[in-house]
Amino acid sequence: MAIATNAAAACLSPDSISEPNSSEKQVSPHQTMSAEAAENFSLAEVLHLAHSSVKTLKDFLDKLETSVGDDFHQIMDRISQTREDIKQLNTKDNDICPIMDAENELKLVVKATEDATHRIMEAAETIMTADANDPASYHRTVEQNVMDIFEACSFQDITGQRINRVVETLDFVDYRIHKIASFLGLENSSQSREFDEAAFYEKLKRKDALILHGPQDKADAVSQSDIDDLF
Amino acid sequence: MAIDLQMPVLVVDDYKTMIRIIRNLLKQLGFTDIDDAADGTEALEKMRQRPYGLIISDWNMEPMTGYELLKEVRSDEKLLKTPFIMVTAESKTENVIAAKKAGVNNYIVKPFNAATLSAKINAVFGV
Repeated sequence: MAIATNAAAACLSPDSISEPNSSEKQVSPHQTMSAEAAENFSLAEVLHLAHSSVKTLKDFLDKLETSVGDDFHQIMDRISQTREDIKQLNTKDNDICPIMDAENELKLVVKATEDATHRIMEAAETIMTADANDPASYHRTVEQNVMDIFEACSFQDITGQRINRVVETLDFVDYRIHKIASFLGLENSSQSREFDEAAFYEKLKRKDALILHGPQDKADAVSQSDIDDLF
Repeated sequence: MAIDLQMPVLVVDDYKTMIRIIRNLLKQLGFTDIDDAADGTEALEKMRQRPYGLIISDWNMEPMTGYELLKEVRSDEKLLKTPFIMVTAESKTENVIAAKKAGVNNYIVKPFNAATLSAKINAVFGV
């Protein structure tokens, strides 16, 4: 109690102590005060000390509230921004940011490559086993199968487009993850990779305007016979 | 009416492999004068230097797409009558309808075969 009393005393200047009015002199039985403190200070001094302490405490709490509030706002902003970045990674909004199903694209690439390889090998095997004793028939067989090899090679165009879409998706995901990591302080901003987000969105808008969907899954694609009907 | 196999044909595609494939298929069909361009801009330049009897173009190219090339061709008084076949992996109905509205003569979805290419060329020339 002596420490508290000394501290309280240090807060008081003699000029600031005024005579308490009659009501201030009434001390409730619930008010606790040690006998020693009661002996050293008048009731007015104690009340003034209490008033001063409350004010000091209030100022402290006010500052604390502002500071803590700012911190919470910053945390909220960060959570909100991070949530937005994660949402961008998952978005399926085809109007603005189509995040393609990279896994499905790669499966289709594998399938197309496999089909083309089989087709080329079959054509080559047919040529190898063709009967050369009949020159006319042999020539026809070779010609047909060489044409088949040409057609089969067209897989490269379609798989190329699919792989480009996967690369674009991975670039975007990579950029977003780096952005989130940098934002959360998990990565030095100087380590962040370069990515032109404006150009990325501009490209998406252009694709939308010029109806550039790229190769479709068979289930989503219109067949050649349906196209023929339109013509 | 037979198709003039001597007429110059312009193949427009950004994949060299595809240009090679279409060239070979056209040769198999009997065409002898085959030229190529890597995108719409290059194709348009070539078309303004020399008349072509047929354009076979991909859709998805940079900087000028086949769709943009088609619209340019159809809005150019000197080129607008050139037969135009789109050969593309763009296989959504909206693409086909947009191309048709823009004035394409026929539309082939990749992957395709020689028979399909031959049939569409015949259809364009009314054979």
